[in-house]
Amino acid sequence: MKARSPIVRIDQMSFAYSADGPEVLTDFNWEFPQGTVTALLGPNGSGKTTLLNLVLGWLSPTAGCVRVNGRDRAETTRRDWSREVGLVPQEEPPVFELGLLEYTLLGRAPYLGLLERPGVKDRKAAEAALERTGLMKLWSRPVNALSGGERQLAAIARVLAQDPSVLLLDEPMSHLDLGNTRRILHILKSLRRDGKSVILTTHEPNIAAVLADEAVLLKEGRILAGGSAASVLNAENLSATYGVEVDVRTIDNRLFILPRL
Amino acid sequence: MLRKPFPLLVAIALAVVILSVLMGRYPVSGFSSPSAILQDDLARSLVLHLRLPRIAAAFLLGTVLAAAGFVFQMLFRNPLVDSGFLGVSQGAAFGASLAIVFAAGSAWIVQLGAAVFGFLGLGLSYGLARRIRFGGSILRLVLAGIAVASLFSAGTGLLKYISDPQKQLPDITFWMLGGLWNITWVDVLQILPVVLPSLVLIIVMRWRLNLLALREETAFSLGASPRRERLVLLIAAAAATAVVVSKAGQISWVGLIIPHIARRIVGSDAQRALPASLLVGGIFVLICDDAARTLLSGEIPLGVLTALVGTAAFLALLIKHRPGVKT
Repeated sequence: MKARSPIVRIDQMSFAYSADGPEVLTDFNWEFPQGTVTALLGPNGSGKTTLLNLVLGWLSPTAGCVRVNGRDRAETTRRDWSREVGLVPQEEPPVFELGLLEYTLLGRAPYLGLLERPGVKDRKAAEAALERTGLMKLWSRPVNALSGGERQLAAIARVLAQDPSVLLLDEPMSHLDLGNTRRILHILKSLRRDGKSVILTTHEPNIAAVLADEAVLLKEGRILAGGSAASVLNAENLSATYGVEVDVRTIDNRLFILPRL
Repeated sequence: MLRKPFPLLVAIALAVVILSVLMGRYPVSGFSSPSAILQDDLARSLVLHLRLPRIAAAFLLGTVLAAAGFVFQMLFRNPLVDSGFLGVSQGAAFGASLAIVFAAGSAWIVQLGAAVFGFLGLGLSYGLARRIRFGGSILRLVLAGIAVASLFSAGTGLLKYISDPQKQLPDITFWMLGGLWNITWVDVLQILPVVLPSLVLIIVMRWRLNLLALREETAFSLGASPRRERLVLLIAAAAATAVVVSKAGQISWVGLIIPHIARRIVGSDAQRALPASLLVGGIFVLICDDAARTLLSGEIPLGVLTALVGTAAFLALLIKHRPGVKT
């Protein structure tokens, strides 16, 4: 694969949640290429979600910097930044019974002023996002009344309506059945075709193997291995990451990864 | 959900206002005809100078408490809070009691004390929240609010204890029961400079309440500045509450129950549910106040009636319907 220009660049970044607390990420350097899907893998507490929040700009590095499209978070406005980077959090059950279309319309906030409300153009973008995720027929249904898989798709529809260059997804396929997992895999692959960059965390190496162009393995806040998914996802690296013996098999040109029993 | 709820709500509001104007003890007990009022000088003056300002104040009180409750529920992502949540009501009660005990209790000093301390409640909660060293910003505000409310309640208790039981204690008790029996046009005009800008701000920013009801990092990812926007909206809601409470005393349950009823009628999207809350709040308090001034020969404290009707409505909602929120 020919080298692509980086969309997200992380330079010598460290992060701790408090001044006297332990570092969650240490001396982190990585470039996320444009138009690719990168999977972040690692055991619980390895810093995957923290890394997403740092790229999002919600957290600020204690040292080093994160640049998206060549710009630092501090150099741009909140609204401009949110047209660049979007987030699908791990789980977000809305407290109030917002309808699915109303919920998807929230993705248009980066294009609206403080006192503005969504207009026809925003409604069209939200409807297109619902079409793309296959949820249009449920548009008037309250988000709380949807199944777990549909709610996850709704959060993805919201970020599609937001239309950022970089999409951050925190465990987008946890707790999903195979049908919904396949739907989301298709959507993420189509985003790559549109030139979008996707960074996702996952506990499931098989998801990374089938979807990601690149993979980064994290352990205790450091990069254990990183690069093309095919080269990184091997038994040795995965065993070192998770601390258990791992079997990696190739069947019909596809990787299958399981812990050794 | 109703298909066209707003014309209906506006029509109900107008009807209730008109009936309230015609309702009272003079010229006849119960409903008087418009011509009976227009032909009687005393009745005309009574309606103009007593009944109308009271109706305006009751409607405003309802809209403000409902709007503030709605804003607090969205911003705290919690359907069981209202604007009393950050020490505003307890601060106002303390301020009013302080004025009654130490400043001879003239009406305007009581009102000023309630407004200032109500607003101080919010300020203290915010200041304290910044010093709490754990939890997200919402949890810190909740904890600080509980502490401040409790502190003011203790202070009010102390003031009641040291107050003159013949004169001051009944005054404090009456203020806390809530009511609009003294309201004049001057009072209405005094609250408008705070209430109107606050309501306008909340109304124009209402779509963003949906956004701010998401988790903070999600709202942030959508371009919001959750902490700053929340502060602006909370100040508007708390200031308006402090000012109306300073005139009306403790009026409970409106801020809690009305947003739920509004969400039942128009759905949970703040774009529709906030305006519906304003209208339903105004209608609700106006009807309660009509009952307060006409049901018995003496005045029934408004706060007692809103609590009574509010509790009944709350239970009816919970028993008959889902409350419009995640359970």
